[in-house]
Amino acid sequence: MKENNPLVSIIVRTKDRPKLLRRALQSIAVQTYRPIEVVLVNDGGCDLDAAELGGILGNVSLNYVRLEKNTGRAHAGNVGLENAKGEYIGFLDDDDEFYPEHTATLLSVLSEKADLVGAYVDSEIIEREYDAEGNIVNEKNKGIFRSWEFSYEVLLFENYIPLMCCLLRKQVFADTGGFDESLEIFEDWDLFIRAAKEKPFSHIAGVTTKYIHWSKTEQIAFVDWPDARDYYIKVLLKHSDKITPEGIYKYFTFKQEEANAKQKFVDLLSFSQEERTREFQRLKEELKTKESYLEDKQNELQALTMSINNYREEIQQMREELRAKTGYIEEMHGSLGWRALNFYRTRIKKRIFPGGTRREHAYRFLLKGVHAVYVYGLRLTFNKAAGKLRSRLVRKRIKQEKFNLPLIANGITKIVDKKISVIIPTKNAGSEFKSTIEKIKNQKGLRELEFIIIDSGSQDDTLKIAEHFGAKVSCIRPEEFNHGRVRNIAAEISTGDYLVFLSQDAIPISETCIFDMISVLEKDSRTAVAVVKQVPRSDADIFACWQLWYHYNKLLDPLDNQIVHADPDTLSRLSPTDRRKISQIDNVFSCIKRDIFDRFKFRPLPYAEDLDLGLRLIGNGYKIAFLFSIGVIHSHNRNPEYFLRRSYVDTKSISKLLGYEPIQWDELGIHSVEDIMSLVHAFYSRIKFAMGILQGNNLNAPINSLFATVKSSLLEAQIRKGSAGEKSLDDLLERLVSTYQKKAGGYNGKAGVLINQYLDLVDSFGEFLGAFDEISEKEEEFISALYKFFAIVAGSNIGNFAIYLENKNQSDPALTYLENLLSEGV
Amino acid sequence: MKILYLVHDFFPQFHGGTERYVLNLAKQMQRMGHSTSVLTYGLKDSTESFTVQRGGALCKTYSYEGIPVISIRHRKIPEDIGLLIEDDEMEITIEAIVREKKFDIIHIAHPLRMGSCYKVAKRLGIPVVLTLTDFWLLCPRGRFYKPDYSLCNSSDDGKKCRGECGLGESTLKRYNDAKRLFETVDVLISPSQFLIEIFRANRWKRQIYHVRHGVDYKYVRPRERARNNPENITFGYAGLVSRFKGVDLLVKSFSAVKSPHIFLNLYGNLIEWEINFCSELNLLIEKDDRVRLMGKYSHDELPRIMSEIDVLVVPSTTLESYGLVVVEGLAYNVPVIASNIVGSAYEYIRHGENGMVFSIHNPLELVDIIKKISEQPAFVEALKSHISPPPRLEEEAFTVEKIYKTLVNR
Repeated sequence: MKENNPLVSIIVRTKDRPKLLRRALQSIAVQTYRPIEVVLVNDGGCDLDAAELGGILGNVSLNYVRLEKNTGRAHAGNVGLENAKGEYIGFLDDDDEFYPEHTATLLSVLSEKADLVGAYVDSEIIEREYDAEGNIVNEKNKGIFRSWEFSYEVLLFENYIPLMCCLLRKQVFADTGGFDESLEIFEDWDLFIRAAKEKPFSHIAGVTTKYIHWSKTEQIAFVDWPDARDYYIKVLLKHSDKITPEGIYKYFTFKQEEANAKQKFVDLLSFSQEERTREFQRLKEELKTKESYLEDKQNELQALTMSINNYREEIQQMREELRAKTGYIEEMHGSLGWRALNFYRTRIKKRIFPGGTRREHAYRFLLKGVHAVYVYGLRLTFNKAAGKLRSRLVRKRIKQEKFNLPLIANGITKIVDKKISVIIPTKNAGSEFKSTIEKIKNQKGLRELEFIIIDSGSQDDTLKIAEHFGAKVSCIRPEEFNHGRVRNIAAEISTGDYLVFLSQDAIPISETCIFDMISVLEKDSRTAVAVVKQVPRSDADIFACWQLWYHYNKLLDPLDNQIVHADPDTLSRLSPTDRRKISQIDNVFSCIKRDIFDRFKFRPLPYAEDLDLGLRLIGNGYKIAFLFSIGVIHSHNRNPEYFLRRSYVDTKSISKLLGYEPIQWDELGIHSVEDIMSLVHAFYSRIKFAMGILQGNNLNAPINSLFATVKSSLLEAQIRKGSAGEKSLDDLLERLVSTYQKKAGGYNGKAGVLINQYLDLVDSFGEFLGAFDEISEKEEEFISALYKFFAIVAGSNIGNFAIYLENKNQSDPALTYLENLLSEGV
Repeated sequence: MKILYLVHDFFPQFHGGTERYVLNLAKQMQRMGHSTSVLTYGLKDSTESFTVQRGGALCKTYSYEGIPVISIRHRKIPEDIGLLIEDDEMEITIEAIVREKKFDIIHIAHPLRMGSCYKVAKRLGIPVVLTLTDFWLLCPRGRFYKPDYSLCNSSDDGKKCRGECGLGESTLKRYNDAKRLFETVDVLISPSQFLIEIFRANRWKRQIYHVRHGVDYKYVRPRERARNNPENITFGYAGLVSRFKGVDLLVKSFSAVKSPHIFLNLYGNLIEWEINFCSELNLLIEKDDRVRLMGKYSHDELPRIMSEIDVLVVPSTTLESYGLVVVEGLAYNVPVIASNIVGSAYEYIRHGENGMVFSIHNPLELVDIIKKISEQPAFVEALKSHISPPPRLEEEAFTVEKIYKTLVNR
C-alpha cells in the first residue's frame, strides 16, 4: 500500500455484544488496506474495554464514542459520521464480518471513478451457532446474497444494497445531511436514495463480506424491530416525487424478470422424479456438448498460438532485415557521395532555391522535365512542354460568361413558346426507363414536347413504355446502330425547335431542367447547346463516383455554369486537352437549337460523336453553355476489362479528333504489338503483386496508408508472385495473347512509363477517397477500382501505340486483330 | 466540402425516418465527393461506452456504413432534455468539435438536445441549413396532439403548451429559443409543402425551400405480388401500431366492411406504454379474423411486405410532417390511402387517380373507400397505372448540394 493512501473510516455501531464485536473488529484488523480507523459507537450498551479492543485492532486506530443511552440506529450512525476523519466511510454491524480484501476491493473502483457516489459488493450468508461463552459451535454457509446492478429507478422501490457491503465518499454525508433520525429502520435505504440522486453507485460482483444469521430472537440488538411495512411506506412516500411512469415501468419489468427467474426455479423443484431425471440427463448432454465445444476452442487456441509463434519468427526475421537495412543506410549516410548530396541540399540548394520562391518552382519544373525526358524521350517531352506553354498563354483568351440559374425553381411564371423534341436511342432500356420518360413528360414551362425513340432491337418492355407515352418510335437493326447516325435519323423525324438528346438510362433532375436549359439558350443566338452535370446513382461503386468527380472537379472545373466560346485563332493554339475541355458536349443529356443542329449534325464516327460536334460548333464561333447547376442521374458500374476496351477506343478516337501526338515508342524500344503487349503484361504483373501485398494487409487501415502500400509495392525493385489477378482482365489479356507471340520476361524496366501514369490517376483517386472515413465495407470496390486504373492506362497506351503505328503507315496483322477484339461491345 | 449533419438520434441504436434521411444524404454526398460526418446525442448509451470528454460532455466516435459519427452526451442528462433548445454544456462541446474538424457547412436534421449548435455556427461563421423534419420547434410534443390525443394546430406562442399540455413555465422561453433558431439559420428546408404551411399558419414566416425527400432506389427491390385468389384484396398498414397513427380507426373502418375477400395486415411494433390502446386494439382484432397482426419488421423486409399487400393505408390521426411510408409504398407501385394530415400524401396523392385521401374529420370516408375497393378490385389496378415513381435520393442530394455551394461561396 502506498503511504499516501486515503484514510478509510469504518463505523461500527454496537450494543451489549462484546464477544461478537471482537470478531467484527478482528475482521477489520486483517484488512489488506491501510490506513483505516474504526469509529466505534457504543449505543448505550454495557461498558467496553477500549484498551483491549485497541489491542485487537493493532495498527488500525480506534476512535471510541460512548453514548449514555440507546438512541437508535440512525442517531448512532450520525454520531459515528461526526467523529469519522476518513475520506471514505464504511459500516460494519457488530455481528457481521469483512473478508481481508473488502476495503481494497471497493477502493480500487471508487478511487478510479470520480463520478461515483459509492460502490458495493455482494455478501455471503452464514448461519452460525454460538455456545454460552460466545464460541462458534456450528457454522453453515447458506449461499450468496447477490446485490443487483445499480438502478436508481429500482432503488426508489426497494433497497438492494446492504449497508456493510458499501463504501461511500464522506462528502456524500455532508451533501445529504447524514441519516434521517426519524427513521428507526431503512435509514440506510433513505440515505442511498438521497445520495444517488446526483451520481450513481457501482456494483462490484464479488463477495467480501459475511452476513451472519445467529439467532432469530437475539440478533436484533438496537431496538425492537418496528413495523417494517410502515417505515417502508414512509420512505417510499418521502421520495415519491422522484418516481416517474418510466421508473414504475422499469421496476415492474425488473420484478417481472426476477419473478420469472424464480418461477423457473420453482418449476424445476416441482418436477416429478422422472422429470428431474430427464432434466438431469438433458443438462448432462448439454454439458457434454459444451465440453466438446470447449475442446474445439482449445484446439483452435493451440493452432492460433502456433501461428502466433510463426508470426513472431517472421517478425524476428523482419527485424533482422530491418537491422541490416538500417546498417546499410548508416553506411550510405557515412559515404562521401551522401555527404556531398546532403551538403548540396542543405547548404547550396536551400540558399540558391529557397522554399516557396519562383526560383525553387523553376528548379522543380526543371527536375520534372528531366524525369519526363527520361520517361518519354526528348522530342515528345519538348513537344508536350511547348504545347502546354502555348496553351497556357492562349487559355486566357477563351471567353467565359457566368450564368446564374435560380437555386430552386419557385414555380414557372412563363411558358417557353417552343416545341421540344426529346430524342432517346434505346435497346432494352430496362425497368427504370419509365422513370426517365416520366421525368421528361412532367417537365414544366414548355409549350409542346414530343418523344422520338430510335430502337435497335429491344426485347423487353421498352417499346411498350414508349408507345404508352405516345412516343414516335422508329426501329433499326442492331447492326445498323451508330451513335451519331441514330441521332441524326431521330432529328430528321422530329419537328421540334429544340432537340434534347438523352440516354435511355439517364434520369433528369427537377421538373424545370429543360426549361432552364432553353432559358439560357434563348438569351443568345450564338449559344448553340447546353450541357448539364451527371450525378452518380446511389448504387454507383466508388470508381464510378470517382470518374464523375474527376470529370467535373479536375477536367471541367472552371466551367461550372459558364457559357464558353473561343475565336478560331485561340482554338487552334489551345492544347488538345483545353480544346477538349471547352468543346465537351455530351449526349447523356444535352439540348441544342434545331437550326444549328441541322447545319452541323453528328458525323457517323465510331465514338466521340458528341465531342466532335462540340469542336465543330466552337470552331464555327458558337458558344456552349455548361450548366452544372442542372443535373442528370447517370453512372455505370462496369468490369475492369470494359475500361481497357473503352480506354483503347477513346484514346484512338479522341487523339484523332484533337490531334494528340503519340509517344515515340521507338525511342522506348517498343516496335511491335508484341512489344507493347509484353509491356502491358509486365505492368499487370506489378499490379497483381501490389494487389497481393495490399490484400495481405489490413484493408481497415487509414486510406493514406493503403495508397502508400500500393505505391511502394509498385516501385519495388524485385517483385514476387502477387494476387491471382482480376478475372475479367485475365480473360481479356488471355484472348489478346493469341494476337502476338508473347515475349518471355517482358519489359520490366519500361513499365515505368505506365506506372507513372497509373500513379497520377491513383493520386486523384486518393484525393477523392478523402471524403470516405474508411473503405472496410467497400474492399472489393476498392481493389476493383485499382484494377480499373490499370485497365485505363493499359488501354490508352495500346491505343496510343496503334496511332503511332498508323502515323508511320506501318501495318501489322496483329494490330487489326487487336483492334477488332478491343472494339467489341463498347 | 466538409459537411456536418446533426441529428438527435442515429444508427445503430435508432433507425427512424430522420436517421435514415441523414444516413442516405450523407452517403450520397460522399459519392458526390464531399466529406461528411454525423454529430448525434448518445441518449441510450452507457456512460462507460464514452471514451473521452469534450468541453465537459462525454464523447465517442464510431463509423456507421462508412460515415464517421461523433456521439456526445451530458455527463448527467438534464430532466428537460426533451424540451431544451439552448444548453451551455452542449454549446461548449459542439464548439470544440466544430473548431477541430473545420466543417464548411452544418446541416441540422433535428435540433433536439443539441439546438445550441446554431449559435456555435454563427460564432464561427459557418453556414447552417435546417431541415424541418417535424413540428418540434413549434410543438414540444412534436406532433401537434394533446395528451388526450385530440388535435392541436397552434401552440399560440407556447401558451397552449403550458395550458393544455401541462408543460411548465419554461415552455415560453423554449418557444422564443426555438423561434430564434428558426430565424437565425441560413437556409430552411422542408420536405413537404404541408409542413411549410403549418409553420406559416403559426406566423413563423421565412422562406422555406421545398426539397422533397428522395427514395434510395438501391433498396427498392419490387417482388411479384403473390396471391391465391385474384378477387382478394389485402390492405396493409406499416409503422408504429399506435393510437396517434390511427390504427384503431383503420381496424374499425375495415371491420365495418363485411366482405370475405378483403384482409388487413398490420406490420409494426405495438407501443408498450399504450397499455389501454393495446388491449382495445386486441379486442377489435379478436372480433375480426380478417385482421392480422404481423409484428415488428425491419426496413430490409419492405420488399416482402409490399409484395404481400395490394393497398397501403396511412390513417394517421395526428399530423405527419412527411410520412416516409407513403413514398415507400409508391416506390413499390402500391396505391396508398392516407388521411388528409399526412405531409407526403399532400404531395403525391391525387385523390381517385393514383391513391385515395380521406378527411380525419369524417372517418366514414375511410369506410367508403375500403368498401369501394372491396366491391371493385380492378380499381386498385387503375390507381396503380397512374402512380409515378417518387423522387430519388440523388435528386434531393443534388438540390441540397446546390444550397450548400451557394452558402459556402457567399
